[in-house]
Amino acid sequence: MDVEDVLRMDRWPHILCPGCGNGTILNVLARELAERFENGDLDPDKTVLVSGIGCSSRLPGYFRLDSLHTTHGRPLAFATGLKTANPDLEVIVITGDGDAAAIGGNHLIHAARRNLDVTVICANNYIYGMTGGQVSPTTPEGDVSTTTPYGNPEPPFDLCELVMGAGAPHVERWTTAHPVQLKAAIGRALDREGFSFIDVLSQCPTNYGRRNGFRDAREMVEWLRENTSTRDEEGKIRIGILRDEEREPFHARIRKVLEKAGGDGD
Amino acid sequence: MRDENGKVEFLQGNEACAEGAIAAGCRFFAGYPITPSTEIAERMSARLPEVGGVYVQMEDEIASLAAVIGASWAGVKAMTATSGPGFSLMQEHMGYAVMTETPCVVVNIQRGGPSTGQPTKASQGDVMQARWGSHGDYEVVALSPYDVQEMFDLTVECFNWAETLRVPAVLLADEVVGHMRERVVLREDVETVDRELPPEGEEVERPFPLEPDDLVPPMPVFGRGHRVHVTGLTHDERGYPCTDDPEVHRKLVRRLCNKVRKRAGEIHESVGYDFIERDSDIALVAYGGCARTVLEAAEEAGVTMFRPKVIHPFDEGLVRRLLDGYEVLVVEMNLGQYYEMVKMALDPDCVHLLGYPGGYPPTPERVVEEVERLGG
Amino acid sequence: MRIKEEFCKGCFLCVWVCPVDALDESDRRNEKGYRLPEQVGRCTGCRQCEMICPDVAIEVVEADEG
Repeated sequence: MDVEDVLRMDRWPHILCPGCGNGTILNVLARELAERFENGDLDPDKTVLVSGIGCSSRLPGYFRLDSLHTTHGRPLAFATGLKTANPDLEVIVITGDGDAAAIGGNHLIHAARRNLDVTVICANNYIYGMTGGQVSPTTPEGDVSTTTPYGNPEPPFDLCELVMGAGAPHVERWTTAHPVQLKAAIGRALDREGFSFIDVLSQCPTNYGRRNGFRDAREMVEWLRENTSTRDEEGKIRIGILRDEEREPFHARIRKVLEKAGGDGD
Repeated sequence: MRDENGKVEFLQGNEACAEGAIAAGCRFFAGYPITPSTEIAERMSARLPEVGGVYVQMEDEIASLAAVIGASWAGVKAMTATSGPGFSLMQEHMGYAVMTETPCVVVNIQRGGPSTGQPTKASQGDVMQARWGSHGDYEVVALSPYDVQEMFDLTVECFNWAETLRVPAVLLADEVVGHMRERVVLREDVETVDRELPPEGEEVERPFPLEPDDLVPPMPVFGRGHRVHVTGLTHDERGYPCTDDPEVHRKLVRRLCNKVRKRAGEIHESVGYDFIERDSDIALVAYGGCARTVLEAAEEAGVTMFRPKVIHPFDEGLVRRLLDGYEVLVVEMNLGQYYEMVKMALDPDCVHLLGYPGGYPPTPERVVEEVERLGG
Repeated sequence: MRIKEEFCKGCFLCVWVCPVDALDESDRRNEKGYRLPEQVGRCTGCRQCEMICPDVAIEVVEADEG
């Protein structure tokens, strides 16, 4: 199966800016899915993409799969209904730093706590790109945005620490400068049962890079490659597999409730 | 105990509502506790697992309706229950359910408002909100039960209309009916409607047609190979975001409204209403928990009585046919909401209001007093 | 590699990622006005350009496929 068989090529070229990190995520996700559909590992008819609002949330509309483009911050809540009503569905949530950690923060921690069986790809480009470049909960302190013209006075979240604290069993961080590793991480997340969270450090050249000293997408991915490390290194952002444990997924817990009540049909 | 239609029980209104949902085929409930609706969640948490359904207590009301919509797209009939403050939180997703044509049921056991208000007392303060609470142009179905049997029956109707029209249907109840206990027949002959589905395995090219202007398209639920993109953005017939074409938006929004609006008469006829005609110049109008005392007052004063069960969509033609020529007194537990709708359909000089917030319906004596003041 | 010119937005991430500098900016533009990349060296088939391209606009074609 070609990557183009998974995508709605009738909508090409897509609306993302030149050099957008979300585009790399789209590309890598499409290739991983195409492979799995090809080798029978995943059924495209049972694979559902769910997103919120933001540039990365536009991705599901470009895939030839069932997809639910929901409201800002809430994809995980919709996904909770989808997955518990039909556990046969493979649910992938595509969200962003604002969608997941600002307005969606509550749903993020509860989905992680419940261990909802979803793969969450969080396109973390440190900014609210879609709306023109306002500060987000992951924008580094001191950065300029359209709502922090004097520099961001707030400290940012470490999204991985946040979801690990909430109980997520499988957490990884990669960047769009590492497409090969990112694709593999998506594969691992799809293999795992339970809440898999991938923090994808990404570039928004148009609404973040431009205002913070980066001339183009290349300079941004260069920065991502140079300032991240798969080892604990001073001054570098830790990327890689941060946690990989096994915990009972939510739909299995629900199933046990049905068994106790006698409604499981067995 | 049984009668010829089913098991007879003595239940609280909220409990009957839960049973109605299960009888209608509901197999998913996501909710958040809020007085005076919590008993619905509690009963669903016990009963749904017994019938193979799923109960999830979500982290807030916003997530609750989101999960309900998600479950509906997984192909399962789904419901949530709340009261005023929670209903306010749910408004964004009411609009999302409308825009995505997602069948779902939202129960609102109205309590004193605004804001935290009177958590343990009744009101009918959300009548307008049920229809106008979300942003944009849209229509929903909202039904108002006045006794425990209707808490069962109208919940079934909500599910059926939600499935028929692919809209959110609101059970607009109140604390009086939600918390009272009465004899109820848990009918087993319940007629249920299921959403129309496209043939399984077929990729659906045009899941959201723009014409005809009152069409309800089959629902391409997930997991059946339909490969549909569902979005809250204005979308074209293929379901793709299409926000730059005014014609597409116009046609889409018109269809979303017309599919309900054009069937207003059908819905009122099917769900029914009470109209007790008496030889008088005055007609009383009341609905829900408030109608119980007003019905008594109407009998006492010898005046005509109209009790709608369908609050939305409003059927102007029906109201005119029934009430033209009367001095109409609308009695409701708010400062005038259904009253405004009736006033728009009739000669406004002939429509009067006994607006009665405070937590309880007015006594029959109080209503009769008002009728006499009107000259009845 | 083959570039689908009508989809390229001239971001040159492919140029950046290529470990053997087989790609570079060209002087040519597509119909939208975006500058296009071109192959200037021998491709090792690592496919990183294929994967990083935000527009899925570059494809590695094996030599023996002609």
